[in-house]
Amino acid sequence: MDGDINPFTKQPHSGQYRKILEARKKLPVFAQMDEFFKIFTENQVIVMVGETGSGKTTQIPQFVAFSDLPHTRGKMVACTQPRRVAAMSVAKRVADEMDVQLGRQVGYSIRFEDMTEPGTTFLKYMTDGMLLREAMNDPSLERYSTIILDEAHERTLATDILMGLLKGIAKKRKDLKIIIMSATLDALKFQKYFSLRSDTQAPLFKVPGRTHPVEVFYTQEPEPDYVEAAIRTTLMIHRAEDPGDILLFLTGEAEIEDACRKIKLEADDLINQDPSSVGPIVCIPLYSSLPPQQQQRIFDPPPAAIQGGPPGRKVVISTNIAETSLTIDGIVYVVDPGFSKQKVYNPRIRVESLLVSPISKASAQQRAGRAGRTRPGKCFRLYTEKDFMNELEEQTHPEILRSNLSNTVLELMKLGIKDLVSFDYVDAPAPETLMRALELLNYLAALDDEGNLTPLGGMMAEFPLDPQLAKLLIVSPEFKCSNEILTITAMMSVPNIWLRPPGATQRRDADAAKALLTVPDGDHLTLLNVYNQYILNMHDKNWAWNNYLSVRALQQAESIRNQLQRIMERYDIEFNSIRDEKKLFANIRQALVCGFFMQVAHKEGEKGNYLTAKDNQVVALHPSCGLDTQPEWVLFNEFVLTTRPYIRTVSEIKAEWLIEYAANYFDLATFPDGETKRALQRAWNKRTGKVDGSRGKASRKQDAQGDGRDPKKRKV
Amino acid sequence: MSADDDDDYLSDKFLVAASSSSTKASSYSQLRKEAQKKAQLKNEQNKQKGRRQREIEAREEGLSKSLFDRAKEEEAAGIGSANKALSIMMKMGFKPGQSLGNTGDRDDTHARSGTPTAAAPTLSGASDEQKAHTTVPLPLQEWEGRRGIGLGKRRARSPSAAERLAKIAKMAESSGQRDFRERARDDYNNRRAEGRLVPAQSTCATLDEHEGKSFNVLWLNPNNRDTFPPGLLEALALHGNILVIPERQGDSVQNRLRKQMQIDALQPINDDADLDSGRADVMKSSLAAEDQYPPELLEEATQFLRLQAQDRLHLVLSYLRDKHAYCFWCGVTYESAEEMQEQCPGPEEDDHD
Repeated sequence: MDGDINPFTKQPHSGQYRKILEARKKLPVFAQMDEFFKIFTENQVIVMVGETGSGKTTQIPQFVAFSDLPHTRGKMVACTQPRRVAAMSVAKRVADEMDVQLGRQVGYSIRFEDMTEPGTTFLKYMTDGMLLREAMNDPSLERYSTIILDEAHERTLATDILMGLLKGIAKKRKDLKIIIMSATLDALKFQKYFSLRSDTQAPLFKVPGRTHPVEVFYTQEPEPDYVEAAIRTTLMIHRAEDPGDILLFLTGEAEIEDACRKIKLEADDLINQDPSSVGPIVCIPLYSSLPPQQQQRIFDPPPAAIQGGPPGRKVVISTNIAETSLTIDGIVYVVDPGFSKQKVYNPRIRVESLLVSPISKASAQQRAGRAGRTRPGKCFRLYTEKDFMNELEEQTHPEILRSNLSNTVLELMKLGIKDLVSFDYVDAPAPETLMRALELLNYLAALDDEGNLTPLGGMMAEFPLDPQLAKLLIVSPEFKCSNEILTITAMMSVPNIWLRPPGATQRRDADAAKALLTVPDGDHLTLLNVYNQYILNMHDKNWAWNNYLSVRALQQAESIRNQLQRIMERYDIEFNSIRDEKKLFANIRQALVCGFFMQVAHKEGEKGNYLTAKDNQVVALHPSCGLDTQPEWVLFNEFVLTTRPYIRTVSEIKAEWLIEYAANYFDLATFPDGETKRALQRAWNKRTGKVDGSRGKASRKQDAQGDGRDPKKRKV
Repeated sequence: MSADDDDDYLSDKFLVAASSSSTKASSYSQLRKEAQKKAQLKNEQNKQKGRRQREIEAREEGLSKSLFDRAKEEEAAGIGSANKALSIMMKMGFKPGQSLGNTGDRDDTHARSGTPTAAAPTLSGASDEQKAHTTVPLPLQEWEGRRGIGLGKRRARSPSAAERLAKIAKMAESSGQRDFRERARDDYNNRRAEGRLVPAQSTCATLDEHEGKSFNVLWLNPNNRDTFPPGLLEALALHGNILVIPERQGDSVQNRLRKQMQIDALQPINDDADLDSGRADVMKSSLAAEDQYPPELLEEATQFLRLQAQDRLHLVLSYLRDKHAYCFWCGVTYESAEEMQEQCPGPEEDDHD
């Protein structure tokens, strides 16, 4: 590494390289390089533990590249990351460190973005989900000489599945090396899991972190309002504690922005009252949907003191992304209310709950550890010590226990893993979750009744989408609307496009702008309309801004649309549209039924309640829903439990379509009794012509009314 | 009810109602009246139950039953053919009740009791083997607003406990709706069950303790204070459900009366130190007691104790069968659930004649 010539590019090293190398040599892992090489060459699988900041994510893959020299054998080193942003930013950093151009020798690959050069790239950072997708077409991952799973302690769904796969591959491919990297000390579980021979567990390589002691304080009584308590505690620290920055953990965007404003206001008040003893303060929000430039603000220095007054202080208010994966220097105080937002899927009623819930003891310890990076620190826990002991779980549940698995099951089937019951999971999901996944895939005809992948299922697996969306894209040409469905699918694959600014007036403006873009027949058509308007307005940022739309999300949607289009071309899926808009819109909704017939709700009573089909859950339309009436039947993209049970992204559909395109699922013989079944029965009767005169007339009349109202309300 | 909400006489609702009851009523106006009455009744019911209430009820009901039970019921009721997803899983070697994953030996039915809430003080007391994979989905969290930790509802119950609670609640409900003759018969059955509960519960305690469990709600007998661990009775009383539990067996009515009078009597000004400190101790110990037992345990215990003896017996016996493969009527611990399936004539006493 100290040579003058870059061994990978054969070019002389730049001055920048030298400077970075000096900094790298100070990292804790650098001191143990020889020890690492020894253990790495002697073992097939190793488990590595190192705290955030030890340099493992940037250095270990480089060590491996130097040891493996994968490019000389036409192979690559892969290092997975749970988050897209991390994969991109780490790859950039490592490219700089190795003095090469990003995207050549060192690259990254994330969903919908491949920044590598086949044949040249030999060190690839990628999301764990991408490696799993690659395994679908390369089940023994032949192109890699070493695979590094980073941040394994986060136990993301894809990392968990990859561990299962790699354990199997390692037994067949003796030349493949595997490194499991974790930031927490619970490495024993991984060591035991990767004991390839039954008697010995995988060896541990440990890099000590550079941490200082952290003093932990608890409250005397439980807090009636944790946000208010967090604000109060932050201000108390600012007023009374020695210099040093504060990290406050809250749960979501709205809560964080709100707390930022309130702390700033209160602190400014304090400064006005007593400028000689209270220093200036700056509040910086941090959450994953924040644009990358704004995320960088957390590295800004604290504000300077005002004219000889006390020094300024930086307050970072973050979701749990600052818990393990990001290191912010200068943090001395941590405020921990003990909550994070958690997603939990329940297969019994097919709901996803997205609620603020208590963190685990392990998380609380991680949070506290953040205070000791620079010098001895303090952690303020906004709960009692007794509640810490009794109320918090030991560990956070791995994602595989909390997720809908339909996508994963399809990928594994495509990979050739046929037995998902005795697959060697690190932690096995609930059997009912697997049952729901198989049920969905079977109804979508991706699996036959024997559980074998059908050709259609194989094609669906090629799309980096949920199975429902993949099916929808594939059938869309039959409805002469594949161009439109492609757009809708892309729009459904990006985060929220609607901006909701704070402040009542602005919010009213935002709602008004949204109303103008809304198509009353369904939210899916609204998404289509927004995208089309964006293109018609020549991708104008100002247009998007004026309509309270997220430019970033729209740009992303466009790029995803292009990617999906390429996959469709590869499979010769026709692109078509029809001119008659009314007919087109009806066709689109019918195509939607083909993908989402298992996510349907029927109106119940007069109060705007809906019952989900088969599971009979009482749900309401989400406030963001743009339907102007309450149609009898609706199709939804998500059933979520937040403050209440809601269905989100909803479109009106007709019972006839359900019978026409999903007769199997809506077979009356298998339907539980109830109002929904009676409504279906009417639709079946109508179809088979078992109707008496008057009833037929009545429903025809309703249809006519329905059609009549459509054109005048559309604002496209 | 606004005009819009009035049912349109052409709407399908009436025709369906009509076709179902057409044998009785004949004239149109009769039909209409009947339907109106029905609609009104339903409306009334809906008004009584708030929307939120109905959301929660639907959710609890949906969550309380496993998909395997649902599939079994549907099959039994003849709705639809066998569940396809389940049959695909069975082809992979799955049996309902087992977990997924590499369990070492797939047919060992014993290693399957671990729940994901391993650290929770679960009252069903499943001896939480850390290694075992889960057999049930994680419970859902409920919305708690901004209350800090320690103030919200306690951690979600382990799902098996929730299921058991739902079952208990259902039993209590159905026992309230019987006529006199049934009640008389019940009384007899209950007295009989009462007698059988004692040996059944002590068997249960023995088997549980054998597995290292220190407490199980199913051991509790309201007629015998010794079955309650220290502090639980007080905690139950504090929980807001004062249970009438007779004093130690052998205490005569007179004795009890005397004690009661002693407690109720006006205190002499000059404190009887002994009595007073004794009381303070009770207060203290009961306060500590409430902390000692999680509220979900208290709730389950309360519900359990409120049940009739025969229902309590039923719960204990089915627990013995499920957890320990023990049949009370045979008096035998079987090697496995399969063996019990094969050799035991059935879960009821009548099966053993």
